[in-house]
Order: sequence, then C-alpha cells, then structure tokens
Amino acid sequence: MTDSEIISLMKQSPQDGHRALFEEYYSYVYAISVNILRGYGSAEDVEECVIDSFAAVINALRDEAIKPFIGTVTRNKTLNMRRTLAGGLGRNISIDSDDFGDVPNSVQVDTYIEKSERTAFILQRIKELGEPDSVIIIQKYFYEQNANEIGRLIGMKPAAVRMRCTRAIKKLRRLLSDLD
Amino acid sequence: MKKNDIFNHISDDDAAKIAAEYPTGDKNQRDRLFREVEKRVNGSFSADDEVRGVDTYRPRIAMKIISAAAAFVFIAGAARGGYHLLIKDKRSTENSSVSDISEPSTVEETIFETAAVSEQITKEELLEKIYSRNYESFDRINMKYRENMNGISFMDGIIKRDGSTGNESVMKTWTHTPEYLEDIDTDILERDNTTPEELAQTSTHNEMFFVKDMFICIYNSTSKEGPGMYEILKRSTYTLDRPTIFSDTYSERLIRDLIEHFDIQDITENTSFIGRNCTEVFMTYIGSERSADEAASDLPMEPKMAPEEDDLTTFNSEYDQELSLTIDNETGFILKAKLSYDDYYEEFEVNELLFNDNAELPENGEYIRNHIAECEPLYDDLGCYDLSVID
Repeated sequence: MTDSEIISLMKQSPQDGHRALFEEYYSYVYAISVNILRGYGSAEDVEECVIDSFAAVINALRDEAIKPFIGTVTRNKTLNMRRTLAGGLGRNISIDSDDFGDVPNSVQVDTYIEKSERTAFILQRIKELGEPDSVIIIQKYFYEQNANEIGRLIGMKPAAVRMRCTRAIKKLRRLLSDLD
Repeated sequence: MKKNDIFNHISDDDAAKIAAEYPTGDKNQRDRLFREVEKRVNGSFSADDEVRGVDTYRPRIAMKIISAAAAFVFIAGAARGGYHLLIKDKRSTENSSVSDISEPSTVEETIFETAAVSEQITKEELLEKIYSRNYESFDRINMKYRENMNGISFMDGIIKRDGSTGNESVMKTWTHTPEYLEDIDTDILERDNTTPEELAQTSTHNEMFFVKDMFICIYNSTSKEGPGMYEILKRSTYTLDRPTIFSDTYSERLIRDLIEHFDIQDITENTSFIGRNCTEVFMTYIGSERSADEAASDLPMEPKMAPEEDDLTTFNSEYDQELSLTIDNETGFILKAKLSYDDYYEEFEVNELLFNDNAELPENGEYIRNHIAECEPLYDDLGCYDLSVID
C-alpha cells in the first residue's frame, strides 16, 4: 500500500488506516529501534519504542511522505530512551562522542564507507546460507528474536530453529574466515 | 554469557534495508503491539509521560545491558525473503532521508558468540541454582527416573534415600530394543540359542543397597535361567554414592562433565513439570574444528552404533551439541535433560520426586536378606559380612 493510500484510509477508517500504517512500517520501525538500543535496552524497551513511535506518528501524521517522518520520529524516540538507559547504567554519552549521532565528518564518512563495504560482505555471506538459515540468523542476531518467536514467524518448531541456528553460525564462521 | 557481534551500530539506512528484505514480527507479536499502539493513540499518552497502569507498558528506566550484537551494512537488497508469513512487495529506499544522519560505527571484529537473552536469569544465576542443590538436606528422598539412549536402550531407576541414617537404595532395570542388540556377536547368539528380538523381550535388573559400611549388589536378568547373583563390598571403597547415590544419575554426570562448556540460548522461566515449578534452558556447544587427519585418526575400526554406556555424558569437544534442561526451581535438581548431536541423543527424565513424609525409606534388612537368600554369591568370601546389623 502506498503512503497516499494509507493516509487516505486513515481519513476514511482510522483504525483500518492505523493498521495499514502499522503493517507497512512495522519492520522498519522495529529495525531502527533494535539497532539503536542494541547493548542498552531489552526486547521490551524496543517494543516500547515501536509502540510509542507508531502512536506519535498516528497522532501527528498529515499529508506527507510517511517513511522519512516515521523514521525520524522512531529514531528520536529511541535515542531518547537510549540516553535515559545509558544514564541509568552510568554510561553517559558526551555530545562530542561518536555515538551521539551527529552528522559525520569526512573522516567518519571514510571509516563508515569502509565498514559499510565490510558489512556488505558479511551480509552477502549470510544470504549465501540460503533460507531459512539466513532468515534465522537475521531474526536472532539483528532483531534479537528468540526461538519461539522465530519459529512462529517461519513455521518451524523452536527446537528446529535452535538447531539450524547453531549450524548456520558454524557455517557462517567458515564463510567469514576469508574476512581476516 | 558470550556476546554476538555480527551486528553492531549499523546505519539506519542499512537497518531499513534489512527490514525491507527480512521483515520481522509474527502475527501474535504484531497484534499485541498494535493493541498497545491503539490504546496509546486513543488515550493520547506516551512513555514519556511515565504513565503507570495495569494495561500499559511501563517505561523502563534502569535496565541491565542484555545484548551486544555486531551490525553490518545491508547490501542493497532487491528480492524479499520468501518466508511465507511476511512476503512483501519490493520497496524502494531511495526516498529515505532519515538515515542521512547515521551513527558512526566502529570497526569490530566479527566475533561469534551466542546472543544474550533478555533480563531473565543469567547463566551464572542458573548455575548457582543448580550447584545449590543438596540431596542431603532432606529427611527422605525418592526419585523415579528413566535414562534413554537414542531410543534403543533404556534404564529405569528408583532411588530411595534416608537422610537420617545415610542408607540408600537404587533399583535399576535395563531394557533394549532389537536394534541395540544387533551388534551382539552371532556366536554368542547361537551359543545361547537366541535372537536380538528375543533378547529385547528380556531385562536386566540390579538392586544396590548402601547400608552402614556395606555396598550390597544383587544382579538379575530375565534372559538367564536360574538364581541371580549378589556381592557385598566395602562401601567406602566405592564412589557411586559420594556424597549420595544421586551422583550416579545421568543428570549429575551432566552437571559434572558438560554444563560448563555450553552456552545458554534460551531460558523459559516458570514452567511446570511433574507438578513442580521449573526453569527450562536450551544450551548449545559449537564443536572445535579438527583437521581431516586428526578426525581420520580417531575413526574406529568398526562403526559403533552408539557410544558405550560408560561414555554417556563424557564431554566430546568435537561435535556441535544441544542440551535442553528442565530445572526444579525449589531444589535445583535437573528433572529433565536431553543431549543431542547429529542423529544421536541421550535423555533423562524424572517421573516422580517425593520428599520426607511422602517418601519411602530404603528397603530394610529383611527385604535385603530375603533377596540375597534367593541368589548365589558372586564370590566365595562374602560370608564375612554380617547382614544382621543392617537394621
């Protein structure tokens, strides 16, 4: 469904529109939240950010491109939570810190590009594992889903998910040994 | 608990590309979160308002660090993952501007370790729970259990312990399937005029009594005609019951030999097994790489169908292994376990666990003497033990 169709539906039938927005952008919002909160928050914190982001977007959305708006809202909400969590953990982030999320300078961009290429390589190796292993790896290690959740997603028993995950990691380790 | 550093602070742009190619969230999860979204939209409040209530998510302020996973950039994905629950149309990411401000990422080695779980019990807490078990702290314990080797060999055991005297008994019965017995030498089968199928109908039964300073063992087998055999040994020379006879169970061997090598993958708290509140744990071990020569040098001359009984739970560092445990929250006892690698598995399961007044005492002197009377001594010099002192 396109953004304009979603906005139109939200006017005609708000709940249907909300659901359409939610379904269209759920993975996107979740991915941003889990990525920012990695190492700081729990799965509940990620879900909290997802819920809060969608609620904020629904309350504030006008006739505009949804994706950039929802991305910005999600990022800001999640960064706020991360700073709160980091403060509670004694991990305060300086405004000068690389982790503060400022616009990267040229040096940072160069480093970022190098990392991007490296991680693109890693992702390609994951893709070479084929499904469902590649899906399991992403769900577990990027989205931090547990075996039950992954199993429900891909129609597999949790025990089978765990077994495939263990074997996939071992395969991936071999594939990535070329990186070094 | 080890960390997985595959993903670590990738850019929002790349996170978006991952989301496009690998959607997440099964129906349950999405429905649950959408309900919360609607509540929040209709109630017009957010986590920033620090709302408290039965039906709302509580904003978390102080949390333990739970996970650290390395991130990597998602290469521009074209095709979607084909898994059936979330198949979406190709989405363009060209209009995305939110990811222009990206978090700089630091160069990380790709370290493969298991991902941490949420703020549940940690491995250290779990191990502490297990190590705190104490069979000696009960006046009486009875445990009925089964050990299963790959579905072809079974041992059913009943342990009784009297905490006040230290007397213990264990009854073990072994049964096997014809598949387990196929490796028996054909000469032996011919000598005994039997077949694996016939032998599978029989069972071997041992009774062991640890009474005062005596270790009394009675052996019986339904495959052999005639009386059983017995022997009496000095209890202190054997370690089967150090500190209690439970040391001889499969679950205790797991704790001694294996658990420390494994990493926790999943923990489910507050489950129930045989009416007891438990914690279920799933653990894995990734085997170490070996050269082809090293592996070849260990190949047996003849293929073994299954490890020898004595090999049960001896840790094998070569294989990828999975271990599932069900741990009794009150006592720390392992009530259920399954160890598997490749196509092989070993299982342990407690069928009944009774304590104190609900438990029986070990068999008394009269029982032991009567059973010995039906058997022949294994050795000639067993008469030096005075069985009248048992009671």
